[in-house]
Amino acid sequence: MTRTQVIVGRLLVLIIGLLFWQFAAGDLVPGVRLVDPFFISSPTRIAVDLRKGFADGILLRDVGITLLESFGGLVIGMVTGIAAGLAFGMWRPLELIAEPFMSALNALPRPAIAPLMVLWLGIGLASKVVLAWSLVFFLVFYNTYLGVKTIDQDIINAMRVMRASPAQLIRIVIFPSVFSWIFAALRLSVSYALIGAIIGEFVGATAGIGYQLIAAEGLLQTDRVYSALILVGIIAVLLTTLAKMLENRILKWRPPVSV
Amino acid sequence: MNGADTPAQPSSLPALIEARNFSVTFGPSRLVALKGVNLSVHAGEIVVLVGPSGCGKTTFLNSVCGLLPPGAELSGTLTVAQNVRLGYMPQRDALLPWRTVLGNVEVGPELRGLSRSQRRAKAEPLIELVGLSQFRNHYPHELSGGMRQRVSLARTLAYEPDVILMDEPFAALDAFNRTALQEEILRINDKARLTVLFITHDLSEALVLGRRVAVMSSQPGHVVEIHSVDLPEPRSATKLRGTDAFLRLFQKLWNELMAESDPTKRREA
Repeated sequence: MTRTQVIVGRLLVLIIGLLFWQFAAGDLVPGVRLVDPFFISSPTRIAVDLRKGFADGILLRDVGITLLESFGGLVIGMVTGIAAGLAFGMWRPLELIAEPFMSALNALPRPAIAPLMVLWLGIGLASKVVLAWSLVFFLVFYNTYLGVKTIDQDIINAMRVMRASPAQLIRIVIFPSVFSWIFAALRLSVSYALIGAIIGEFVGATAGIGYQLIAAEGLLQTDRVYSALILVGIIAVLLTTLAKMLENRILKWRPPVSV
Repeated sequence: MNGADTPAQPSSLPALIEARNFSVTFGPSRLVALKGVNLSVHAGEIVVLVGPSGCGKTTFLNSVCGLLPPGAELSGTLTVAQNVRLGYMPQRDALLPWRTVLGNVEVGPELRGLSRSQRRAKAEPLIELVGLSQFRNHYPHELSGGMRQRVSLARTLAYEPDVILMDEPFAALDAFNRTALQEEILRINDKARLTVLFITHDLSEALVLGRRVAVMSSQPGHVVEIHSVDLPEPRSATKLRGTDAFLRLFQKLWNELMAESDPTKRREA
């Protein structure tokens, strides 16, 4: 398939989907509807609500706050995850002793600990950053750790025979090798950070997309619920595309992977 | 005269690697991987260790490199001359996938602590030498197996080793590329005398490249015989194979290997 065909195909799916939605909600053909728009809203209703929301500045502010929380969690998660992953991969006693605890911590369902975080850190930014961090950290940690573990032993041996010092080994082989794993984690990390922040906002917040969602659900404002969901979707797609572009640029030595 | 160095070796140059009655035993099962190996590699010669898989060739090479697994027990002596730089070329190319051809070849000089411009100056002519100038900015995944092994060769040479250890470096290549790379080694060797310890299970490769060929057998791994290969120089991997002298030697070593691997005919040690 050519690139144009793919894009045209995607647009067609989108348009047909939207038209059907509009039709089902009774906003396309007057008098014919399948479901009450109170439950499913409709594309035009959402568009109107989005315009209103952005016009009075509420949605823009919320998008900004959610992005800030996610970004904070992302950055701190990357830094701490890389550090912990390198430590685990390179220092065997730590790996042996602490690995089960890492697995256990990672298995905690974040929605279950979100109320605790809000209790400890308040309803402000901090609790959301920590929740976003708690997802990003483990993703980056495991990728870095695996990256160190799976370095080609032949390369290490060749370097050792050529008398590479430990510092040279880290600089020439280990860092660049782990780098690719970290970037592979970046794309997922971006959406995980967003999820973490939004879970935090569900539980206790005064602003953010997640807060808008939960508030609108409480007030049965279906249009606003859908607006918020669509915003989250758009942000996630934009951020992951950005991460993917960055990844392809920096990891241009890899064989191209489609997806 | 099991495993003894033949007096046919008149080299006056010093031995860079020398094994005397060298044995290696592995693990709790005390598996004897090498038993009483006597072998030396002198400056400016290509020594080939040939034998079937599992006869301990790689164990010997790894002993020289210092890559034996922990728990290996050694006896006898294995000396590597002081301040000898070892180059290492494994069967899999072991290139850094995130570096271009140029970047990979520069690793050799980089490990020796040379500056960026010196690295470039060392790497460029070697890339030229292995015929990859057009590909200097390509990444390993964009190259064929034969080209990657050429890069690996250039990287090894760029390190300017005193001895190059090659562990079946062409075994994974197709017949065409294998011959081409053997030709390459011979050509480079004609220009600048290389010192190589080469391991292979391919007898004809051993005879094409080796000035001395040590035939090894297994259980336990030992050197059966060391042959001097007096074939006309300069050698050519393609032409040599058809000559009578080559075929006679091939037959002789082949019989030797067969006799060793057939337990009913095994000579008394």
